[in-house]
Amino acid sequence: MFATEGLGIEMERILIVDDEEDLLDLLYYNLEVTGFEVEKAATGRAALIKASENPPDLIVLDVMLPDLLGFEVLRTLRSREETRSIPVILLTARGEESDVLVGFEMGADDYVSKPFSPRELIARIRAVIKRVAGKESARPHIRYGALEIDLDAHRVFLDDGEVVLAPQ
Amino acid sequence: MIQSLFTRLVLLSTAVLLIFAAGAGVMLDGFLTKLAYDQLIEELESKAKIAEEVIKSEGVSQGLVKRMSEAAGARVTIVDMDGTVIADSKYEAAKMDNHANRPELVSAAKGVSGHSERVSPTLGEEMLYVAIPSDPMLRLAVGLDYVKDALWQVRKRILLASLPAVLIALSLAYAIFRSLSRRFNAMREFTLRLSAKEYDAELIPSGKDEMSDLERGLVSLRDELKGQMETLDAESRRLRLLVDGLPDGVLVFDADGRLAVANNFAVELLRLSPEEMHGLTAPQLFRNPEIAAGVGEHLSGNGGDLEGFRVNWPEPVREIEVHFRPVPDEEGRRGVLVVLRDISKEAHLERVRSDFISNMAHEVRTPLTAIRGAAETLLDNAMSDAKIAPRFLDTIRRHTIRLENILSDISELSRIEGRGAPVNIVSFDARAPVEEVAALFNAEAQNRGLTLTSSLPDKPISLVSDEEKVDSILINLVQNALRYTHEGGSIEVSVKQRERGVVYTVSDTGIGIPEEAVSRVTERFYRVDPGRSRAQGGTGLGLAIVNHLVTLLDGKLAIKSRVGEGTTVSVELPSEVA
Repeated sequence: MFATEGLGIEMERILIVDDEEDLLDLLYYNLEVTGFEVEKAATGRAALIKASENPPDLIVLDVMLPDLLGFEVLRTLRSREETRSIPVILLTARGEESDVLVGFEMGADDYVSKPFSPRELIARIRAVIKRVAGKESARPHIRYGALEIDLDAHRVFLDDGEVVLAPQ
Repeated sequence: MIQSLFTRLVLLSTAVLLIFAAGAGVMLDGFLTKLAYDQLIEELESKAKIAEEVIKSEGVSQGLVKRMSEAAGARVTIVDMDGTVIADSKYEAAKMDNHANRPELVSAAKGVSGHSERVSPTLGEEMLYVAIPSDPMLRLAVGLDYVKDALWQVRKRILLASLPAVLIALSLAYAIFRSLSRRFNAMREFTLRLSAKEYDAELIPSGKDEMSDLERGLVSLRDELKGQMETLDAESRRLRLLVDGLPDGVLVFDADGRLAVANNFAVELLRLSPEEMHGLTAPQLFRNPEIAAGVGEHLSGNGGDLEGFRVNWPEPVREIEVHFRPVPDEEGRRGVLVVLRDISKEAHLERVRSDFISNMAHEVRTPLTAIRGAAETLLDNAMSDAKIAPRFLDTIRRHTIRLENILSDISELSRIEGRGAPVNIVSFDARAPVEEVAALFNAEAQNRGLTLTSSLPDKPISLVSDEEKVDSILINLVQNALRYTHEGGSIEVSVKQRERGVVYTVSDTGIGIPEEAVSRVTERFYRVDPGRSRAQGGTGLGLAIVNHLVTLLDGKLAIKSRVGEGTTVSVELPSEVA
């Protein structure tokens, strides 16, 4: 994991995925000004390649992409070891509740609907990074082979599937 | 049965005739016999009276008795009042027993003439005795054999005389019965055929008796039935045509829940032959449990809700709206009518509409996001950045234009999609729109580094159509070609005369359309590559508009394309719009 340690010597890297060049430019500018390191991808495939080669700290993913649906990208990210735990914020069309639900089910961490304000997106990015970082450090985990135990949440995972335990 | 009826009639009439003849014969015989006897008795009595007078004057003697006997032709006996035989013409009186007990003499002794018939013990022959009251009593007797012979002769003659009459009567009866029986049989056959619905059965009435009335009645009954059945047949054929012609599936279940009627469309939907379907119950017919349950509820009288519900029909793939109506079945009991309305088309249109709206919302959202984002970024900090500010301002400008384009395309599309879109038909030279579009886009093509050429025949081509719409079609097509052709490529616009119209062609050496996408490019908001399209200012509506315009002008749109080689779009228009 590339979780930040220390006092922000290392900048968080954000991968933004959208097929609209102007939006990519806008987000790039705003995130850079805010102090993030930014990478751009215009297609789902490009996004998957970039995320695998050099996993970012967070991905902003448009749901409507020309080649793959955002959801397919998300599912692929979640199925790969190296990208599994990268937080993802979805960009969705407003009012499409089903998109949001599907997104969360597939492991999205948050969503922002279009049209959105860049400031709002940046605030969400920060909140997600903070939350994930907190989780990573606070939660004691025990790993033994395929078995993973979350001591705080009292949950057990085997081969990444949760083992449902009967309540005591 | 009928043969036996005829036989019975013949036997019965024969029996009646014979019984009657026998009765008549017996009566006649008795009468004749009595007549013969009475006459004989009377004759003997009068002869006896004559003999009495002779005896009174001459006295009794054997000689006289003999002579009297010869004269009368009968045996003469004279008996004393106490029964002693005084003289007899055939026998010696002294040797004869007392005759007081003979019935004829008993009667004569009482003063009344008597007669009797019996076998004479003296002569051993059947005799008729007649005695008259006188003193002494006088008895005459004659043998009966000759009388009987005479009677037999009479009987024989009567019998011989009546036999032909009986035979004639019998054969007459036989002939009449035979003819009646034949006609009866014909009528029977006729009615049997009528009840088997064979209305071509024939029956020829004969004569003017009651039976021929019956025959005529049957024939007119047949004509009536035939006419009614024909009317009924025609009616039911018409009804069947009507029901079969309906674009909805119609099924009727009787009170037992069995299928009684199914029209063509229902047969198609259920994919069973009418023979297989007949008599099946709703759960056997429908895979959808809701429909089967609905039929059951309506049969039991609980199905109150007459609103249709929608069902996705698996095979053939259809969207079906199911309606139930209670109807009386053939016996007046509660049956149920099921109407399966095919709403696939409406459902499709509905989907297209809602897809269009959601696509439109999505299309509008992207430029709005860019505009809002750029404006806020400028307000926040980018305004002071002299390098960045113009770029974001340009973003705002371009996306505003894009919004405008989307809106104008949508309004154009809704205008031409609306029914009765005004079509302004004029006669014009088909080459004019090509020249116009070439002039219109020449500058833009040069700016993009493309060659735009037009190819026209030398002579004018007369076209009666909507010139504005033809312009619009070509403008949209050339815009598309400009968008998807790389620098250095070429675009050609041409028009050619065809047998019954003209063909406009716009071909480019652009990026082309993948094979699987060719059939979809005329759908609204469909884009092969959305990012590229938006970057080029496309709205996803251009070809949808072209398609509609071509349809409005009764034309045909054809798209041929190869990825990497280019696209050729041809529009064939009739030389005169109907």
